[in-house]
Amino acid sequence: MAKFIVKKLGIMFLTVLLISFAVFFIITLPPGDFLTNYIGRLTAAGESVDPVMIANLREQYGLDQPFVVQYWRWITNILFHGDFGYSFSLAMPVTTVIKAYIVPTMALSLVTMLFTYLISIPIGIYSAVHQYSVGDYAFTTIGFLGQAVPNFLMAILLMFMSFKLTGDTMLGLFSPAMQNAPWSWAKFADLCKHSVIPIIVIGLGNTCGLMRTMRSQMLDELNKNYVMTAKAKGMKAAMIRYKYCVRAAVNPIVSSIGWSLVGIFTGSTITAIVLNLPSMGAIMYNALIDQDMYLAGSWLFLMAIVTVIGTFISDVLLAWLDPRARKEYLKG
Amino acid sequence: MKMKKSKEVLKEYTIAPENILEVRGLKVDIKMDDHILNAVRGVDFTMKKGQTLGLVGESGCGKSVTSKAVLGINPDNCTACGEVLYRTKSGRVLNLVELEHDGALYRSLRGAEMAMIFQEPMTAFSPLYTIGNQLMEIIQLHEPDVSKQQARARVLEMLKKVGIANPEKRIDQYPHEFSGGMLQRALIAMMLCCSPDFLIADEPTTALDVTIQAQILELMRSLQKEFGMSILFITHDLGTVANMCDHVAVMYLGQIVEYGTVHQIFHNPRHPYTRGLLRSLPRMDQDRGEKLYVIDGVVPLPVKLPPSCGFHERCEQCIDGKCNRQDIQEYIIEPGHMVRCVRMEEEG
Repeated sequence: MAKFIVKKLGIMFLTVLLISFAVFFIITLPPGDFLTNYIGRLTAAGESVDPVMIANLREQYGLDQPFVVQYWRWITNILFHGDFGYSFSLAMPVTTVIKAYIVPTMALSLVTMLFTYLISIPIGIYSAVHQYSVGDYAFTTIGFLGQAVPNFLMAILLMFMSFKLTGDTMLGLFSPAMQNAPWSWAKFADLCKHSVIPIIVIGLGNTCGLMRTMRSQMLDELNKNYVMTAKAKGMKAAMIRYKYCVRAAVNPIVSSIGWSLVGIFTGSTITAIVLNLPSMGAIMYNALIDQDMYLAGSWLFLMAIVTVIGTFISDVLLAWLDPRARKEYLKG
Repeated sequence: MKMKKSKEVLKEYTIAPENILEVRGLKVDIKMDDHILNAVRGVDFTMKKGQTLGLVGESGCGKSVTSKAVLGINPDNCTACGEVLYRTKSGRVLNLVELEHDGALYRSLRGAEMAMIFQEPMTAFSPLYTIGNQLMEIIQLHEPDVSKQQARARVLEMLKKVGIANPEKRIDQYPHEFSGGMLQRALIAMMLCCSPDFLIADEPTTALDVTIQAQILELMRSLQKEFGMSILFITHDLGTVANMCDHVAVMYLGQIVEYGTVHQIFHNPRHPYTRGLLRSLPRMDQDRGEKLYVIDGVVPLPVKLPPSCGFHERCEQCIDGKCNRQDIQEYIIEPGHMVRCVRMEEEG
């Protein structure tokens, strides 16, 4: 198993490097660069541009260098200095932008995912074991509603309810007073309070989907022959379910962790705008338009890393859960 | 079903001393979405200690449901009534139909005293645990005092006994690393770990190829001799019955239509269905190219059946006005030979 994990990590590193190259290549594909864009806008506004200053800027940011050199600088700075470059349009280092926007988004996404699994898997099991019971029907109804209601509508609804009940719409991740305060327990409590609505809104659709998946997987497993064998051995029905069925039923959910992570991470743009969360969506959009290549590149690069990490988690869990997958992985 | 109180006093029953199991008037209904299947419609049979009873019939005639009702492992949409009187190792006679399926008493019997081997060994094991884990589990369930090492030693011994070569290596392998025949051996080993008195074998060789079939049957015969258990052998292969069984019950549409010793059934079959089954066997003296006999049609669905002989639609000797109008009683034509057919009335 350790050998398998080490091997996986090696492959992961190579994959990430390849992706970084592809990302950088695509980002620099459009003709021109941030400065040509900048000049265009300035001249359009009727201002004169000093060609010497432009040439200086170009040299300073290395934009006059060939593509490969630019890539090399970018990737080595990331790898050895943790420096993701400079955002031209926001006029600050990309690392600062990441800290301000990507980290909270990621943290929120991870917590949301955790909640999604903690809620949907037990409910799915309950629904399958008590198929066609009142509880099953209730959860099924909630499940379909949750999948059908658009996230932003849910967000507005919950904000309204929160305003009615507490007089606070819970916009953003922090109260205005806490926004710039140093980290403290009070600030953490404030963050938790403000996370409730985003977690519900972002996680609801996925939770309901997973609930349905878990239910149908579990029903499949409960009707398999090995359940009959285990009964014939004199095993208690509840024990059969937990030892055999659940472990087999979570398989497809585990194998989809990789892309649900990214889905939650990127799919929440509209919700984030509605809830006034420090969202990456709008910033990314502008970065692409402005050819703010380091910002856009770093963002895509981080997304790729998240995907790869998610897939890695899936693979390891799957290998741990299912001996057949383990064998396949160890061989290949 | 609700859990019954453990203190509840179960009724006293008695069965003949030489018997281990007496089934009387067993009925099983299966609740489907919009109808109820009367899968087993009043079945009686007895099993003597150490003997083998063959339960024969086509697919869908209720053989498996009957046997699973005895073991109490039918799915929740099945309800059983009647009497399944079983003599436990301690000598107590229980009506298994009264017991809570998932209750402690029934579970203490299953796997320890009564066991079952299944038709498809490939799906009878969970793919997620080693063979050793799943075999040791049955010992640990019923004998909590046995240590892990002791359980493992016993499993190794059982695996050796059922003819699995290199058990020290095999015990830590997963089911997907076993062949079908080896899995069936492992399944037999598992079910015999706690030396049960009573074993149900539900078409144990159907999913295996012919050479393996013979080996498995031979293995079962020798283990029966060694452990002295009674076997309820379910099959649709009459050739196997002739090899394995002492008595035969022929089932059709949830009823036993003919019951007797192997000799009686094979040499003096009286029910048209039994005769049809026997005629459809390939014979050595048959001409090449001659087609095998086939009973036309399929077993009808047992839903809201009118009073009639279940077989009348497919019977070549059906008497209109009798077979399709009334339920057929049992006729004892000689000691131990029962036939459920109106023609016995005339033949006596």
